[in-house]
Amino acid sequence: MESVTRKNILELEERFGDSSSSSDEETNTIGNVPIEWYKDLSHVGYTRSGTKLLKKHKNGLQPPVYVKKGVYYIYDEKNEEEFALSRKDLKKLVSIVRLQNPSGTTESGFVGEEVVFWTGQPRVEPVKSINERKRSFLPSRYEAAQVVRLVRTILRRNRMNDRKKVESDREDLSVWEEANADQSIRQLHRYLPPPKKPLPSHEESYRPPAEFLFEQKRNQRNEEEFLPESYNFLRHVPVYTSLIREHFERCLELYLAPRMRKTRRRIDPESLIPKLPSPESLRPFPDSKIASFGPHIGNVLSISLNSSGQWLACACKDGSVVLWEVATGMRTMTLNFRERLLQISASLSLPGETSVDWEHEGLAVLHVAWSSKENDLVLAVCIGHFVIVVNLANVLYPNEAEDSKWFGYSASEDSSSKWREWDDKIGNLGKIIVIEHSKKPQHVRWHQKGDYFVVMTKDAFGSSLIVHQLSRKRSQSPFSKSAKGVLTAEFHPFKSLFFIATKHHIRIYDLAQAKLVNKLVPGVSEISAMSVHPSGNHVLVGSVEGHLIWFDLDLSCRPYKRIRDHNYTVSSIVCHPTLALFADTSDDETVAVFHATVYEDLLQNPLIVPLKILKASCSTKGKSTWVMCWHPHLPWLFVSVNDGYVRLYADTS
Amino acid sequence: MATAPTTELRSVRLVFESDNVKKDFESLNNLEIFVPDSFGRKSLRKTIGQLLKDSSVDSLDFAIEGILLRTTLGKFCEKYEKSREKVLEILCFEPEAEPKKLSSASQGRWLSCLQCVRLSDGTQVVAGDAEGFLSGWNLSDCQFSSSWETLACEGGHHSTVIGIDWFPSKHLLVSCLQTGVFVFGTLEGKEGFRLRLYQPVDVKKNSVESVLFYRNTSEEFESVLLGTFKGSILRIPKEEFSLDPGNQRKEKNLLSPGTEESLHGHSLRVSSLVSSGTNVLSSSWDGTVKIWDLNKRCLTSSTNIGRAVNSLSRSLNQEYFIAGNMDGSFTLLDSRQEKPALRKKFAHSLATTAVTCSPCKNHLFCTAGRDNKVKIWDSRALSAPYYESVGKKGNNYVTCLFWDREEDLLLSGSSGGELVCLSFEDARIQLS
Repeated sequence: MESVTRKNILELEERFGDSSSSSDEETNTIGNVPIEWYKDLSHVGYTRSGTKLLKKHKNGLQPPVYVKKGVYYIYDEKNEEEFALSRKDLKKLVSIVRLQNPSGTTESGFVGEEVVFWTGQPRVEPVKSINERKRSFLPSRYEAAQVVRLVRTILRRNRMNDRKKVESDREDLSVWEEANADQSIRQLHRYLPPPKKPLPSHEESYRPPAEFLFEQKRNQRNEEEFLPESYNFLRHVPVYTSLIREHFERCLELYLAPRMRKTRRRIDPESLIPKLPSPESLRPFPDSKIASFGPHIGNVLSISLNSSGQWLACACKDGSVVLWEVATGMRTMTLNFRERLLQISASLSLPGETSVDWEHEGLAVLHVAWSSKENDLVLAVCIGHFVIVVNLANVLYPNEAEDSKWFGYSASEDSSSKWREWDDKIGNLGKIIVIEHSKKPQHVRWHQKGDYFVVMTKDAFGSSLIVHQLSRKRSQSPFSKSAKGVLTAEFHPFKSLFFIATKHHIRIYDLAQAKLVNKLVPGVSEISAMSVHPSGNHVLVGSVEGHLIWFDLDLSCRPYKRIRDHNYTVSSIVCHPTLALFADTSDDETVAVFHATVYEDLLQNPLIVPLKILKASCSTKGKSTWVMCWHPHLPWLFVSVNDGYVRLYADTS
Repeated sequence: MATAPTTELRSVRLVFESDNVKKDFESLNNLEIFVPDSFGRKSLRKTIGQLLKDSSVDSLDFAIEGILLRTTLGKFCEKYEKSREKVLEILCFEPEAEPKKLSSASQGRWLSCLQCVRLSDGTQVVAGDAEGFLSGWNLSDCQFSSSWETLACEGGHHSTVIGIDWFPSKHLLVSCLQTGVFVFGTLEGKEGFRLRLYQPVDVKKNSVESVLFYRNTSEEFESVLLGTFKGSILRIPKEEFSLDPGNQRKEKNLLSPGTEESLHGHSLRVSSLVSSGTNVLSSSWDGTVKIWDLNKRCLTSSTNIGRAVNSLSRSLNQEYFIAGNMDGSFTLLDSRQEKPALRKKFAHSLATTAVTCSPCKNHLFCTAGRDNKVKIWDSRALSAPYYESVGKKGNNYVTCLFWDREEDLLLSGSSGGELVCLSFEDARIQLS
């Protein structure tokens, strides 16, 4: 709304003036433009005909209202006229200046006729003769539609927000879903850049420097060979002759052998190492030498510790067995079986030809083994073609009752002629049993109950197993057919099972039912050693490549774990009878000590941790085979080295 | 600003042992001086030397409350939490001179135990060996002479002599064999009578590995304890040993000890038995040292050392025990504290075979190992042995040790049968 200003009022007045004092004089037609624009000009505007209206007088700035001779005048700058103001006009002006209603009549400021619509008295008839439209009192459909639209928009927005929230909350369960089909297609057509070729050198230029050119034309033996040639101008360069052929070859190559993108996987090598507990947390285990037993005359070929861990028997190359007391390191006695055997052969009139051979062969004690039965001090010795069984209880514990002097068997008449008894008089050994074999016995393995023992015999034509029963003096070879080329055999610790290792397989027989139970395939070129874990459910196999293979019989007949710990043939493996330890030795003159926890739970696999590699510094010539045995209760490992000493390794943390 | 002093002063009192103090030091006895914290042994010696002005004090050693001073005073007080206000008593003494190797004798067999026998006309050293022989040497002026030897148990099979004891009033020599036979005899090998131990059937083939002749008076056994290979300790009451050879038959079988007479607790070889008042300590290969109450015949306490113990010895005033371990270390069990404080120290490169504590000085003990070394240690300073002797090169090693009380002689027997005597007679100062 236009504000009421003094100027407007003046204009208004002017119009009134126009209507009242309209003259034929030329009026300024410049319109409502500021009069200052004509300030510097000689004229002040234009008439209707276009002629300039010249300024009449220049008397500077004049106030708009002034008094001249008692009369108030107002000056019109545009037309340069003076209007005399009447009293009424003055009143109006004053009221205008005071921002009051110039007419002074009504408060609403409405100048015209005032129509009173509402008098305060209710009327029966409407003021207007027209009826109110229906839409004036009905809600507008348009507005209703707008409201509905807004409501819907709001609802939709809420719903979308809710859905977004739910989607963000929900996990991405598409585990098996491959990447998008589009993506895979895009991957198919991903651009594979060709391998970069080296940039052309100077000699490949069309005009190479002279030093690149050959002086004489070579015999072009190989067509592939590039010969630099020089041309004076590029346009003289002939067409590349092998272009088409090379293009063809290139296309053929792409067709036959399309490029592949090599996805190189970055793997932290540390992450490939299995997480194993640290060896320090698995103490005690043998780590350093604490004692040595020796020296022996000749090499020690076999050692054995009795079931209580008190007596260590060492089989020497000179045909004697030396008994050491472990606690003190005292050489308790030396049993010379070579002399005894010569006496026996003389007295029992054994076949003469063998006795002649003994002199030459030197009669080394190849193997010695204590009976594994508790409180039993029976020693089996492999010497020559014989296995000699001695009960040493009477010698080591002279105070014992008399009954332990003998073997406690009932002499049966039908004993095989291979079994002979002999009363030893040299070392007060009492009765000893001599069993003759057709081949040379290599080693003896006792059954846990100390009655049966199995002897592996070997000669140039092969090896075989013979099982002896001490109480009945009987021998049998039940595996004569299946155990050809047998390496070693062992009894199950408590079940009636029997393990036979040949060069490529391990067969497990049930002795009670006399049938094959299982056959283990180690998958190595040749087996060199075998040991049955004291739990009876695991078999350890050593190979000629220096691998150690762990079989879990509950799992399968395939290897559970393969450990590469030696460079040469694993010569022997021994498991600790009570502690979770085992050790293996190899021809590379090291002993590896392992921790192996075996769980009762079938779901848990055995935990095998390599603990320590023992190296004995010894100067031995040629091939040396080490033999080991564990103390039955303590983490002590006896290792016999070829220098004639048996070393005792124990935990020194 | 005044700079803080770099070392603070500490008041100490020098105490000299009254017995063996040289006259020079008398003027300094109980002298209180102020010394800086940074003082060590050398500075203390220098200070004392300056105080005395003339005499040489290079050999003085210092101990504070029984612990040898091996660092500076400040570090020592920091470690043992000594307050600054208190006056530190520093015991000044001249350390023991190294023992002299006096003489040796050899007999060629594995020596397993040693004992000194006092007679009216001299001292005899009796040694038992692995083949069941008893050997005796006259020890006069620290020289071995005129030996005799005899079979401990005549007619018996050869068996290691485990322990020897001597009754001075009755002139009886008691020897215990590994097979569990006790032989009572006189010197020069006259066999009086013998007692044979019959073990119960279930502990068959058990050998006796250690023996303790437990007696209150020197006249009679209170009881005899035998530690066996399989871990039980058999107790033979004194009724079985009535030491009157006249009334006895030539040979007598001991009753097999009942279950109430044997102490069960060890699972492996009982390697050593040591008496301590009415208690008996036993060490075993199962890595424990157990204390038994003999009156109640029950186990009092058990300490796990964690390694097979080969030998155990008790110090003079029972303040600590030394266990020689199979891995070449020894463990010092401090009984002065609530829990036995264990301090392990590797002494030998091979297994420790024997340990023994000095019967004259509380802080000295000796270990022998399979590396053929004998080391004497000071329990106050375990960082290095106080004396070390290396035997001849070869396969022999020291198997048994015996420290004689009256003449302060250390006897060591080796596996080659060599007997070596070390003398401590010029040790001057005896510490409390």
